[in-house]
Amino acid sequence: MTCLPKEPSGKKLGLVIDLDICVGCQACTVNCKEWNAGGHSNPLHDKDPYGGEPDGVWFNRVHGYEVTSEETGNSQTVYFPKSCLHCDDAPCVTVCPTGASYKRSEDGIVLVNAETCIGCKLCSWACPYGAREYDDTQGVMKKCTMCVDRIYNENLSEDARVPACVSSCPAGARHFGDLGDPNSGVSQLVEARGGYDLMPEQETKPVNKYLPPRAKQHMKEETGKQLKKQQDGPKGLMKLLDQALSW
Amino acid sequence: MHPASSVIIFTTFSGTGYGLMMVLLATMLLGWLPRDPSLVLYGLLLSFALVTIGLLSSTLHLGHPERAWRAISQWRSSWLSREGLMALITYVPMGVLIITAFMNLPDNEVLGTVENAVTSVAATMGEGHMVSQLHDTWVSVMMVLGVICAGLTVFTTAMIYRSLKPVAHWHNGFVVPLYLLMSLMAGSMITVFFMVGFGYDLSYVGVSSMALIFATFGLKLNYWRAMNRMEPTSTMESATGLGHLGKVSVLEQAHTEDNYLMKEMGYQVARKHADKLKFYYRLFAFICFLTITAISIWQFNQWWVMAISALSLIISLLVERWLFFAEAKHAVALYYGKK
Repeated sequence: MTCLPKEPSGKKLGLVIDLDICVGCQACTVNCKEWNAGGHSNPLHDKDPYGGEPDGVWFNRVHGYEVTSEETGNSQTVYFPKSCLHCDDAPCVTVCPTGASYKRSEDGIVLVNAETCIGCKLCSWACPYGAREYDDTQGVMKKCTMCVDRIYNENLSEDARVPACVSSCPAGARHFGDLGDPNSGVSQLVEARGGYDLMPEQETKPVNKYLPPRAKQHMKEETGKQLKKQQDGPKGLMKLLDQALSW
Repeated sequence: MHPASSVIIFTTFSGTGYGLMMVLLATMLLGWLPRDPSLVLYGLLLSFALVTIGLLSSTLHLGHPERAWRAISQWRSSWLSREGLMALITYVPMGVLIITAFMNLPDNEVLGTVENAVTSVAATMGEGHMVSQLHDTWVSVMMVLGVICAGLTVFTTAMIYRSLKPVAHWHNGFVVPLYLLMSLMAGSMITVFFMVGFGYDLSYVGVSSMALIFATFGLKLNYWRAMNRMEPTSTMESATGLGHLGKVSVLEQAHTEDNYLMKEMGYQVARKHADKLKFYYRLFAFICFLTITAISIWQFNQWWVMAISALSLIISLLVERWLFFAEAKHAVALYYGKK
């Protein structure tokens, strides 16, 4: 059924992504592709991977942005990983004409049933975040599964039961947990750091949250003067003396 | 949005087919046109052909056309599903009326009407057409159902676009009236051609068609004006949530080549091309208006006038629908720096 669950369990498995930490190393995107090429949504097509026009499905992509302050003119670089946000009001689910797209009531994960998807692409039009990509070798829609085949996988050791992107992040910029539980680690992290939704005006109520980059430490005015003094060196008589002695 | 030819053909063909069905049956119900079985037959057969070509074209672009039947199951939540269901339901009154009209054709009418349509107006004004008209109550019921079902199908098609919030060019109050008007306009023009061909007096139908062309044209121009002034729903700042730090721009794209998202949703038509196409739309809509005026007011109903009229209708419909897709911007393009 492509109606949203009428009685959700309250459990909302999701990711919290720390933009203050991410350096855009792409480890999460590569491990995501690696795991999912053999997992629940396999295969993930890769056309012309070493040629001139590589094309294929990736569930996770890292964008690089420059943010320029209008007041100071200072800019900073922010690396921005983006994957499915497993929205509470997922428009990709309700537009699906076949029932292939669904949101699980037990944990809120949004999935596609590749057996019943007709490949009409309407879900990708309905998603403002670009979370869904069409696999033209299979004729069906593919998307992040929150590694549903890892997080409940009893063949894996307990600490490995997290999404592939989370397990591979070398900097600890990605956190996984139940965002429906206010006492969970991820919820408290969101609370402490002012975690936010992407495009709240689209009214999709994303589960995944982003932690803002911490304010950049700008030079104090005093420090600036001190530094300039050191660079310019002595003035007047002292400058003559300095020049005379430093040949 | 990528203007896929399958979707453009689907929405224009089926829209025109349902429009023809609505206008033809409504004019008969209003008594502006005799319930001539041969007119019902040929009119609805054309409508059937247009609708079916459109629907087939829309299923062929699917990744799995053989699973298309599944698409009617989720009518509770999905406008696409509702559209599929309505399209199927509409075949019922359409089919019943086609069969009834066929059964009620006077002898040798099948060959007769074709001849009449080609030969002079005076010949078809004879008694032949008035012999058997479809006046049973249940035929009227079927006609009313036909108008309602065809209208609802066009409405559901428009709602597919209307309901997509990430595409601000579609998520607005213009889209549903535009789809309905475009459909009725095209239907009314074809009804005029049929009436001329069958030698009926156009009376209100010609004037209604002129009014519909005018109304559609006016609404479309207003739509374009409103879209030019529109404030975007989302921005790069809201998409990244980094607006509190300053203006956001792309430093490094997430991938070197265009992916599915860029090809499907990142399509952008150059402003100068859009302006040129809008000029063509205005030109051909004007020719539509002029030719229909010539036919209905000045009785200037030579075959070549109708041919020019029909050709202008096709061009203006295709140009309008192509622009409807090509000019629509999807929120996901913001992540790639396209504002």
